[in-house]
Amino acid sequence: MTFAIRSTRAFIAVVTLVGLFTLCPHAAVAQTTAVVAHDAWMREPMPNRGETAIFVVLENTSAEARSVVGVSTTVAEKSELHNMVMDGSMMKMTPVKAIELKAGSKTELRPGSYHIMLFGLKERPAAGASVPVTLTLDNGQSIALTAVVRKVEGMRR
Amino acid sequence: MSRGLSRRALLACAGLSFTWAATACGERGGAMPVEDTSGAALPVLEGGGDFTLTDHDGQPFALSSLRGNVVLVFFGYTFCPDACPTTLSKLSSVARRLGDEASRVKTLYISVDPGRDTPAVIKADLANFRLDAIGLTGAKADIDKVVTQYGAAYEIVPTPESAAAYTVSHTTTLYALDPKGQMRLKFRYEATVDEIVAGIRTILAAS
Repeated sequence: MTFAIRSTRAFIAVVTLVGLFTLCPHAAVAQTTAVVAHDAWMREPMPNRGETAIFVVLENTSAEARSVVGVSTTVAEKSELHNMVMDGSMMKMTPVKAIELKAGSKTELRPGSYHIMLFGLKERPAAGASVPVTLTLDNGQSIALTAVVRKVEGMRR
Repeated sequence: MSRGLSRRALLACAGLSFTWAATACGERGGAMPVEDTSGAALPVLEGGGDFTLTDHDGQPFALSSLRGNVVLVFFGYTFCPDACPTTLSKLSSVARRLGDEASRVKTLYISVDPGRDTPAVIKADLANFRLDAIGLTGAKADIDKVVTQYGAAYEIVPTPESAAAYTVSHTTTLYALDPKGQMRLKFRYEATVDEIVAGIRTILAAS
């Protein structure tokens, strides 16, 4: 009887451990991934617009330079990496092939700088909604993140 | 710039307690602010002037119809995903902060992308903002004339690799005209709501 109880407990312990490893692949990846993404947000799309932008903070915790070379999301037909540069008082918007993440540094994708442009929105998520986004790095690694939709200040709705 | 001019420019800037004024003077290079005959603190700046374009209802619009108001003018385009919504939301905050005084301030958003920005497109876009702005478009030649008049600039940049097809690089300066239609202040893109509100109040107080 005692043996049976012990083996049941051992069985439960093993099942629990296996379950944890199976259920938490992302936690495991997050610990070993050199690039960590946080504070991702998407500008709430305006009713008449087919495009919007996503912003995120990317930290390259490794000693090696990395770059973001691709982006995809289910809510838009096309997602692109863009940069906004102020040249004097001239605002220039340019698509870029990659966003460099220097070793051991933080790169902020934010309004007025690097950002992710979405074209041909298929969905119109409202403020508070979550949008899944996948970034591709130059080493082939993917980073899954969730962007929270935020309203633009001064919007009528 | 000669030493004499530098000193005069410096004095003119120092006379203004607003931080952006130094930049505005700096941007103007050798152009000296003209002494204001009304005794107002702000000099009359070069550039600007009357024009006629098409408003967001498709009606002819003349700047001269806004005499008696402070008029804010900026150039942009509705497809612009960043700078233009930022400016519009900032100006919404400015209007809120001005309270009752906002009725004496009009905002003009002049499109530098007439290919995409029809009056209907601009109207739909402005409807998203808590701001009583007038969107303006027109024939490219007419827009170009206003751009030159105000010392602004823009460039259409083809981007075949992007779904945008082309983007429009453009100056982001916000121009403030007094009730007589004379240019009084130029705000940089980075100007804060506080700075813009203070500038508008200075113009209103002097007129």
